Amino acid sequence: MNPHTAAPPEATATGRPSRIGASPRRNEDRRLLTGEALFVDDVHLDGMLHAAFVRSDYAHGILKGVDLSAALGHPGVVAAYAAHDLGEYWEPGPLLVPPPPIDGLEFRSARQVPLARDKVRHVGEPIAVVVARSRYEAEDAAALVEVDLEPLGAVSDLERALEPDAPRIHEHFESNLAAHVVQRKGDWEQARARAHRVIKRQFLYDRGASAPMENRGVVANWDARSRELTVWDTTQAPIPIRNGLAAMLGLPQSEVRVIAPFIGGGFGPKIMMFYPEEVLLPWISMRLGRPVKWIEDRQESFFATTQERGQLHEAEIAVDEEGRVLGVRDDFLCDTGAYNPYGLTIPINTQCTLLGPYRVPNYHSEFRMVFTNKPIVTPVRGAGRQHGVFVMERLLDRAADELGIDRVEIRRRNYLTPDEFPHNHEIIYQDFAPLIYDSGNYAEALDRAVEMIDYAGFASGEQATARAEGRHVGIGVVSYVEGTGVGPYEGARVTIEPGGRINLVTGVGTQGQGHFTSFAQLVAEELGVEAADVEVVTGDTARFGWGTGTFASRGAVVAGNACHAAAVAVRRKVLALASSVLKAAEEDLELADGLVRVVGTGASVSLGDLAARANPLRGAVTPGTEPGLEATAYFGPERGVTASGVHAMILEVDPDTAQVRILRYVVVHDCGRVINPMIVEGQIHGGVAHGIGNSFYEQLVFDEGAQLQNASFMDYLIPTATDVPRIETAHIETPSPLNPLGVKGVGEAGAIPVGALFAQALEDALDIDGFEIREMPLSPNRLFELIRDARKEGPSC
Amino acid sequence: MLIESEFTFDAPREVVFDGLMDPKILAGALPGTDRLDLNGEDRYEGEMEASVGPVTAARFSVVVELKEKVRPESFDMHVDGKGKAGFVNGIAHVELEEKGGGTLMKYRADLQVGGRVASVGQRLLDSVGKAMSKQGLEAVSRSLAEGMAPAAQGAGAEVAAASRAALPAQRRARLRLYLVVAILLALVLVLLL
Repeated sequence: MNPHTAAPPEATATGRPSRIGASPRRNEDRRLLTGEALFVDDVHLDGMLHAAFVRSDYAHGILKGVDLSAALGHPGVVAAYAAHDLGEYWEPGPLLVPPPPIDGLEFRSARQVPLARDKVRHVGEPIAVVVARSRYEAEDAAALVEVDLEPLGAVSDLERALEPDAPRIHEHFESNLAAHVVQRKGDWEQARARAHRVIKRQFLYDRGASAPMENRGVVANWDARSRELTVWDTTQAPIPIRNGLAAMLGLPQSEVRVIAPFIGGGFGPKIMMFYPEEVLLPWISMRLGRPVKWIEDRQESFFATTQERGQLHEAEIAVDEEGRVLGVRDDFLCDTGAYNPYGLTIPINTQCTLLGPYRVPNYHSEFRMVFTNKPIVTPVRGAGRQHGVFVMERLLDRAADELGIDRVEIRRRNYLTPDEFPHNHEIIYQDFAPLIYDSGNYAEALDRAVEMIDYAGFASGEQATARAEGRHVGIGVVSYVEGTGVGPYEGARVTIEPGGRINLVTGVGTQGQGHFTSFAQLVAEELGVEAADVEVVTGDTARFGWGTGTFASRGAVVAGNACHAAAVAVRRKVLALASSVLKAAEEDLELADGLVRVVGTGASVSLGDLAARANPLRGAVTPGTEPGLEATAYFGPERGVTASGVHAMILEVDPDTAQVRILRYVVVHDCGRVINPMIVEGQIHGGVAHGIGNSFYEQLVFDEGAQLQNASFMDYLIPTATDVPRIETAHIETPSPLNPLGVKGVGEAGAIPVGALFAQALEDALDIDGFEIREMPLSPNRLFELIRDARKEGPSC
Repeated sequence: MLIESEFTFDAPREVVFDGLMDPKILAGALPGTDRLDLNGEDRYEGEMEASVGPVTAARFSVVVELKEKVRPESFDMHVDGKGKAGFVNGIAHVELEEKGGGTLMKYRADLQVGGRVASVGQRLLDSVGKAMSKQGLEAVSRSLAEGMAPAAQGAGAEVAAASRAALPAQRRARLRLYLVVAILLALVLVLLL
């Protein structure tokens, strides 16, 4: 499929190129491409001041004192604050995600603070903030702040952190153990005992930073005269931020407005809430009576913005002679960093996503979450699912090898079949509900992928030819299931204005997902207009104040269905009013081209005229009705919906230089009903790029003292345009029965199975006896070492 | 971070150990040092400024303490360097061995490095570190050789040794600091690159 042309808009009987399933040009692109879109750093207000932060250079230490006097004397400086200046405003942030109701769960909560007061617990933790006329002056003055800090030993490694003599990060806890959770299904021990083969392996899976093009930023402006606090914030969750800030500052919610304007990529860390900077800037603005701005620079982002990191797994799979899975056991450690405000979302995702599209009758999954002296870990595109998929896919590959079964075949044998839905896996997912798959057709996706990449002909064809030439090419096929579209709810309001313009407002924010188009399509479908006729507003709490945010691949499912429901409600009002205006039965009316028409006679009235009539200047609105053509609706799913997919890849590797080149990349994806195929493809492409980064380029390297060693794009490598191949996509649609549109999420999907895929394809390409890849990420250097060691030692255990 | 290297001086150990006291020897090897004070026995406090690439005017205050001195064989340097661009602290162990007519100096340092110098300069440490240390020590070596030359031409080795021994203790200490700081500066310059 040529990635340059989206599916051509379907011409229909009513000639509607924006209908659901079509790919009209995106509404937001003109603004974005001509530089007219407003990002947080574009906000300039009279008298605006600039903040710069003093951050810890030490990973662990006792904060003895902060001397701001020299900084305050610097020209241009208006104020400087340390923890003691905040008074009662100083408090740890909230626990954003409480632990789910799992029996025997142990959880110790430690949340970040606005400015360090007694201790610092990771490099980059904010200690003081300086406010000046310009960012330059603020940074120069920040360099003058004297920090008296007594360094303590820092701990970086997960196993080391759990040793009894490890430096204690939170003194009021007995150890650095942040949580211990066990989830069970069936009887693993029994399954293990009667298995034909049990295979056990250790795996190490590391992630990295989200590296969005736009870093974080906050502008806060307290207008005392109009009693309005306006905050522009690069957040994925403007409504919860509004609610939290109002509570913390003692303001009514109605006096606080949080705007998430255009945002240059979120990918997860911008849903972390109540970052120190978010909490401090509004307070500073209220104190000084002036607007204040803080924009994060790239070096800062490696410490100040959350990231995802590693898990160490010890996993076992029990299979019968046919390679059917009898059970899986997985024990793992996961890194949460210095604090854990996001609760257990990531490791719970790991536990659940490990099960994949497979029938796993017996399962024991146990994890320990560990505090370390590193920046906070919160979800980054995939949110712990990568780790689970890697473990399961690698175990299946090992089982396939040992039993002499083809890798694709062993997966097919274990897939759930379409008649097994809904399928209850009996363990708890991140939305606190039991993990129940709603719909899916895994075998069909597998067959499609295998056909597209010509798996059957590869070994004897392209691979044999390459081998004869001394080249190493390999093929990989992996699959996964992703829980998406979780609650609690979102809302939307649709309004038809008297002039005929149609407005859609929803509470979620947008970081590039195309909401201005896909949501417009949902409304356009119901009201018989084009997507370009629907003006969309997202992420402004003054325009819509109920909802949660953009995360966990839920925008289309939850906000989308709310937009749809609001549009349906307005459509009903339109038909009722038009019926009386046109003096025809509702069944004889159709909505098209911005008009309501009587079928057959051609009599019509425009939506704009109807809207004017719905708000009469004379005559009362009858009891039980509302003026205008407007409706607000909400959608709250009972549980998440499960998307799925298969990725396949052919790559070439040079065993002497360990350089890798991807020759073909195929994605067969099922995200239920597709609203806009071009946007879905964009999400998949972006996800795959993220996945390639995770597999072969990106890694946050910390030394033993928890000092980050590569805090810049010189040394933290992200894939460039030459590293990301053309991605061939195909879609399977198994609509979800859990929402009226039948949609499922797709935002994170592309990133999830790529690590597992890389490992499988590389092993196939190198074909070294006993050579196994059990860690991610790799890099040319690391791969070189692994190849060299495998060649030296011969077959390893 | 572990730093291990060695350097050969064309002078006997006693000369190297003591000769590090001549301020002329070290002047050329210390760009950017603003201040060096002796603050107690074998304790030196100094300040230096380094500008390398995008990191400009990075100031470091340094405290160095010499311990376990065994003339002319070895000593330890306890280093604590702090600045806005980060910190470097740890212990360097210096050993002087006789080698032919000269001195083989071996040094080994276990350093904790943090802040911006660690997060941005990391990958340059190993390869450039050795080169910079070598340059700094070569400068010291040249100065030592020049310092020795007049004695060879004139009064003879014994007189040179005697006149060297007569140098006041304070100058001796300061010059040892210069060597120490030269090595430290070389390391810091490397970190900042």
